Amino acid sequence: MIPNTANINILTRALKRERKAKEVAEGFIEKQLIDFYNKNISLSKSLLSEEEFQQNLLDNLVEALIVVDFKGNILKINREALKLIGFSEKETPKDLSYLSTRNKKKLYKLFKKESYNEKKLLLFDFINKKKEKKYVTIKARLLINSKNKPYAYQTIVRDITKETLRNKKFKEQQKILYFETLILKDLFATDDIKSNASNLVKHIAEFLGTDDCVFYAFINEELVQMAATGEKLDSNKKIKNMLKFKTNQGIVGSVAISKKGIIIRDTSKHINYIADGKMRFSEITVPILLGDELVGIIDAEHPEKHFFRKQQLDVLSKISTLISLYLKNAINELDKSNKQIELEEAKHRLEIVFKSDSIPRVIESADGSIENVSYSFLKMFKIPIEDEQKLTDLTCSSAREMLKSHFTTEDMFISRIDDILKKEQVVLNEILELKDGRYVSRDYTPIFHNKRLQAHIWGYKDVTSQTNYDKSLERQNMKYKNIIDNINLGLMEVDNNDITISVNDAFTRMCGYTSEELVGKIAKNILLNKNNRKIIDDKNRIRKNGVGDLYEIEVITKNGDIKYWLISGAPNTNLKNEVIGSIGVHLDITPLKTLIVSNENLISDLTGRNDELSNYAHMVSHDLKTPLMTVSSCINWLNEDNKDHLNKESLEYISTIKSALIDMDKLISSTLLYSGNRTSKTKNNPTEVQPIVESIINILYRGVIDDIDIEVLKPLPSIHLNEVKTRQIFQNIIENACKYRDIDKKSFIKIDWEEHGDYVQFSVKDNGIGIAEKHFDIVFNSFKKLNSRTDSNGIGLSIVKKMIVSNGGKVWFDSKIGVGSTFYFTITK
Amino acid sequence: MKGFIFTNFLDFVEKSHGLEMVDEMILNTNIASGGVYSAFNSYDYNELITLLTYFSKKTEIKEVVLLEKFGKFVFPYLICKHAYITQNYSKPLDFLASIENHIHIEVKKIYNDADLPTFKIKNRTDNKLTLIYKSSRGLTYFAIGLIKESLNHFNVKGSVIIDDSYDKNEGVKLDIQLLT
Repeated sequence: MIPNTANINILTRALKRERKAKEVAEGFIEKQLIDFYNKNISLSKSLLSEEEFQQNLLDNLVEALIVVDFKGNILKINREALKLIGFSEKETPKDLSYLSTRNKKKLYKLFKKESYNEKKLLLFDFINKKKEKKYVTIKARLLINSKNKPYAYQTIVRDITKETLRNKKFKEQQKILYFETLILKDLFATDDIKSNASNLVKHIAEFLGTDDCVFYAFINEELVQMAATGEKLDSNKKIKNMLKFKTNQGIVGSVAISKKGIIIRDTSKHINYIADGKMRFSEITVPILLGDELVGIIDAEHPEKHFFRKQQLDVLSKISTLISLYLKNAINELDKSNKQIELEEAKHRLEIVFKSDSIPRVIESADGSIENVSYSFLKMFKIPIEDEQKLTDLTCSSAREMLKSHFTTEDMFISRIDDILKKEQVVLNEILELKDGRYVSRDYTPIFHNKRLQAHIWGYKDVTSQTNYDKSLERQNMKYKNIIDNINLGLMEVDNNDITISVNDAFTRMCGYTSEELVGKIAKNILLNKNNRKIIDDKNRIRKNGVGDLYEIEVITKNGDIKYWLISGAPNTNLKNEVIGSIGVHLDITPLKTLIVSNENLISDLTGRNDELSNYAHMVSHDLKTPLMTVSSCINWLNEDNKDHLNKESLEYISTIKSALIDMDKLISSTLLYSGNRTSKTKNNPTEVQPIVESIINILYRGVIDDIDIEVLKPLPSIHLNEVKTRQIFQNIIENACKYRDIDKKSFIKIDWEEHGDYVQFSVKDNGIGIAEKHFDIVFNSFKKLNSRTDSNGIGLSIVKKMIVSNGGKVWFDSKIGVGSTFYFTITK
Repeated sequence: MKGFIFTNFLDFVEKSHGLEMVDEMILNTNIASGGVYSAFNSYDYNELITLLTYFSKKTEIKEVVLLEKFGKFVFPYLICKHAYITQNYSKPLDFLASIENHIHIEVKKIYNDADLPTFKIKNRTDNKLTLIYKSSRGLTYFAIGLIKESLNHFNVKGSVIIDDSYDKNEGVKLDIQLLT
């Protein structure tokens, strides 16, 4: 490269860049160095804390840890260990010199012997610096230094003081418990209080760890030695020197007064002390109280001072309670025997009551002997009362052998009893038949006490009359069943689901199905078509509410015949009055039904025939009129043409023919009317009578009649009768009155009416010729005339009567010859 | 991007085209660092692209070719500086297969913040290695240069081919085949 300015510039720039890069690099390294330095420091810090951590670990260890060299110098100790040996955390004991010499020796011995056995747990107890007794376990291992030589023990010490103390206490308790049991045993060993007491004092002495113990009984205000131990007894185990104290003598006497147990730690300092035998320095005295009453004292002594402990006093106090209870019990036993006598008496009384019990009963003891028999039992089996003893001497089984002959089934009687006895369960109301025709029911009750069978009670009852009653009831039932089976009414019982429960014979006859084909099934599905089933369902629904009813139904029999049944259904209820189904009574009304049908046919047939007849009569009458008209016309013409030529006689004949023709014409007209009236009873709308009567009167006036005064007294009502009939009735009666008027008088007709309940009574009164009494009967007979007047056809009043009566009314009259008649008739409103 | 790539790139330009080219390139590209690079520091990756683009234009050599050459150029620098790493390997494919699990771990020790590509081994036989190269930067040819030079380093002949059929999103598949 040629050095020139340009090159120099390039190089300068490159150099500048390099320098700058170097600066950057140096800065980078410097920074890295600082980082390293800092990291180093924090590292060493964390190393330091590692040591602390270890110490913490040691301190926080639940177990105490001590490292001790062979000279007893403490190399390491944790907080727990300090606590254990009674130092505060701030103290740092250098060695184990705080231990008592005795403890040190013991420890030394422990480690000497067990020196290298690292697996063994060592037990050690010591008094620590705070004078606390500590029990510990020690687990030690040898520490080896870098030269591979052991230099110290590392020990883990566990404080087991609590457990140890608890254990000790437990053992003590056990000992006390054992002692108490022993005492209890002594107390109940025999019935003899004295021999029990001597065992008692022996055991108490053993428990207290002494050889001297005395039991005093408090008798007659004196304390008398009842039992004593060891030295105080002679070779016969009798108390050599049986001391008696007054209650104010000696320590025993003072306790008898205070009634509180005491321990004397040093008897030499006690003024009350009285030596029994040799002088002893410790004494323990406990009163035996029954309630508040002193019954005795237990007293023990020991040669050493401060020998007895408070705990022993407590135990003895407890024992004394037991003893007093024992004494109390002994007294109770006495009471009990008195009570026993009372019980015996009560039992005897009960026995008498039992014997005279009206129910025949036997008590059989658990071992099968007869314990008791009531007199009524003897009577039942016809055993004389004097022979009771004979019976009760027997075992039950031989008694049964003796009695079995009374029963119709002798062997069954025995085997059934064996069976009952085996099961030991209550059996009630077993009916047995006796050969003499009686029935007895037997009850069996086993008697248990404390789950143990005590006795069996056999009770017998004469139920002959009841059994007979049951039988007659059965017969009666049978009778009714026969009746039910034989009646012609079909009976069917169904449950609430319509399932047939029973049918009687008549029912099966009626439907053609057998009872097997119907029972258990739904009968309506078999016997009815769909429509009729629906009727039944509706009825059943009603019946569920407890309502009975009657209805008709169409049934298809097994042969496929259709029958009509009348069914009366009634709900069937049980004893609680709940509807459990229904009972249907079925009557076959098919014949009746057919009869009704044929009757209806007959009636309609007859009606038709009647109509036919009426039509025929009408037709005949009508047809008769035509030739009659011809005859009438011809006669008239004959008369007109020949009236000058015919003689008087002939003319009269012709006149007679004419009037006869008129009669005949009237007769035919009447017949026509009659046949028309026979039918159509229909009730129409009410008919106004007034206008009809007015028109009749007008027609009459217009005709020949003008000399009669016809009067309607008050406006006439409307009635339930058709217009034609109304007109005919009134017309006939009024015309009649006109016809038979008395021409010698000024005639009148008075029409009136009055209301009577649901009908109206009309009256037509005239002052005509009247009707003779002898003719009263034939007034309303058709075709009978009272006189021979040609203008009456005789049919009028009979038609009137027929029309009135068929309408439910009545017609009658009052009449007197020469005075006049009044016709009455009633018509429904 | 680590400073040593930049210093090496400047060396690479200087070696082939002289200090004038370096000087001119730095002056004309007007890059933020002003061409001052220290190996330990990190610099904007775009400066490398700017420099490369400029250099490619000036020399009329394609950028990929320049990159591969640059890779070959850098390899000895890396090797001589960190010989203790390569010493463990006698076979080139062993060496290449260990990029991910050994070499890059060593790199991380020095350049804790280095943004390194990954080389996942897809397939491996005695004389063939398939690697999946994945990088946040498109320096595939730089990597190829390095690989090729590593073969040279172990005195073996071989080829490094890009498998174009491979899904680009998954990375670049490189088949390294030794010729024996």
